Amino acid sequence: MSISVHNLSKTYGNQKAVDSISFSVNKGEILGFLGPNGAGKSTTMKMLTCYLPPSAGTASVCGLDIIHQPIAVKQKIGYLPENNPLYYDMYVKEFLEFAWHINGMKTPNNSQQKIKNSIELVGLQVEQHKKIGQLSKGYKQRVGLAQALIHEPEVLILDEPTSGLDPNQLADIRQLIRNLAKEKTIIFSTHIMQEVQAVCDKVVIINKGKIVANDTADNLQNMLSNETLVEVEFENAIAVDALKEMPQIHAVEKISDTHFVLHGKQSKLLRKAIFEFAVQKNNPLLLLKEESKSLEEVFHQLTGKQ
Amino acid sequence: MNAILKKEINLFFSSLIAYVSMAVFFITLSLNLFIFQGNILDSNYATLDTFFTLAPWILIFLIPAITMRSFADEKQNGTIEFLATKPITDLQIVMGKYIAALILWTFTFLPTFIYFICVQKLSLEDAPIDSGATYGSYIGLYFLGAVFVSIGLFASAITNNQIVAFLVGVFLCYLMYDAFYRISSLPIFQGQLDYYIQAIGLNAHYDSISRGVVDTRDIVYFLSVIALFIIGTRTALESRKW
Ligand SMILES: Nc1ncnc2c1ncn2[C@@H]1O[C@H](COP(=O)(O)OP(=O)(O)OP(=O)(O)O)[C@@H](O)[C@H]1O
Ligand SMILES: [Mg+2]
Repeated sequence: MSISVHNLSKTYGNQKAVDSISFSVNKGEILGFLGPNGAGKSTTMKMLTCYLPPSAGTASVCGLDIIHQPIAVKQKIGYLPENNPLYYDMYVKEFLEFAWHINGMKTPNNSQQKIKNSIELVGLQVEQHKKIGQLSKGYKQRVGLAQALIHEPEVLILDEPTSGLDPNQLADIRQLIRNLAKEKTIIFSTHIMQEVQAVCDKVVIINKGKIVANDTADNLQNMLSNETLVEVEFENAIAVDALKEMPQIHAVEKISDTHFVLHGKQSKLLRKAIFEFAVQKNNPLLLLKEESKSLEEVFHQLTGKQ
Repeated sequence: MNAILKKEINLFFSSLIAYVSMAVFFITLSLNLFIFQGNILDSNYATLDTFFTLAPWILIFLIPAITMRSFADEKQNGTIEFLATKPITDLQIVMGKYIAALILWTFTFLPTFIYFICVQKLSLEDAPIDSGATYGSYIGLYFLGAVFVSIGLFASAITNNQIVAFLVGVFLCYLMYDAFYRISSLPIFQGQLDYYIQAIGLNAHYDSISRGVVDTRDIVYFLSVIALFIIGTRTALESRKW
């Protein structure tokens, strides 16, 4: 178990920002950390990176305790803090060299190679001779990532690594995260659902400091969508009442005379029934498309106003 | 710690901070020593008293200006989170920054030996400069600067605003240097506590070293004050954990 979190809590004053959460991540897994603003994602990450001590509970990274072995823990982690703080007066390479040394890496002849590697990994080649302050937001984000990767840590903790990126950069960074996961353990937080669907193995959804879901992305989607929607289109017009003859169908939304959205349970049975219905009525079926509930809806369902 | 030290030194010397602070210190003192009214060329005594009296007052402003950004800026920009999540202790962060600022103070301090050489050259055979007292004063001044650096760092660690760090730094430097001496001479303390109150302040120890007798008690005093403010700085950094 690369990261295991046990009843971790953080209290600011009398506000419980993180309330007794537990989860674990195995080596090679990517955990997506989801939640609305103020849910406690960044606070959890700050505790895992030993920036803030927990008010209660424990956590370990690569078997090392975050409270008793902070230096050893920090050595294992590459961390991209929220808002990506950087030294704007420094040159990209100068900063990465500093990051290399401050991670306790000694061998200087190795450092140039590692700096080069991390620059290439995050695609900073073109901008590598500039001052950090002169870079665009997306490239600053890449510097933040390069800094987190430079000492080849086993664990990556990335707080909103894709915020403020254009669609191309977004795809690049997601690809990078997926590639990195082959030999690392990654936790990253985000507000973008497609990102979780595209990148993560596991999802933890947190709301007001409490975990409301902890599962694989696929399971979450299936488990929570107790209703299936199927979009259908027939060649010839058909009456709503005729459709309702099918016992599997609970409700019908009419888009046009030939085009409907049918509500039911158990997607497979439903689709089979629709097909047989079309054959029986001799009315060719032009479209049969399942609209599964997106993770986004799941998210709203779990974290919405209760 | 070396990584931080190197970064801070680079920052001082790649910006104007280092050169301006060296120039300000040297030029202000040179003007007062050699050009303005009451300078040593007009008086007939071979002494650097003007220099050693004025220098602490300049340092009270100069050193907090050098140190004001060191932590305040990192807190303001959030880079403190970058530093604090690296495998180094908070004390190493503080020491890296302390030594860097101390090195800058050393570079500011060293050129003032030119004054000593000048005065030695100018003085008459039968009234030479008192070398013992002068060396003592130089040592005292160096320690005074070293203490001010620790005070300045502390002031910078308790706020994320550079101006506040500067003002608090100036105030604490003044308090440590002069205020205890002034308080001790208030009538209510006369003949009882005045000696002890005076001994808390830097001024008394600076004066005592300046007489040319380097007393280990004075050195121990300076080192303790430095240690105290360095621990205070570390505590201020760790206050995020409370
Ligand atoms: N230093 C602090 N002092 C007091 N309260 C804080 C502090 N930091 C965070 N909080 C509070 O803790 C809660 C959780 O904050 P946190 O930054 O962890 O949320 P988040 O999930 O990262 O949100 P976002 O998606 O907006 O980044 C918030 O209500 C916030 O106001
Ligand atoms: Mg956050």
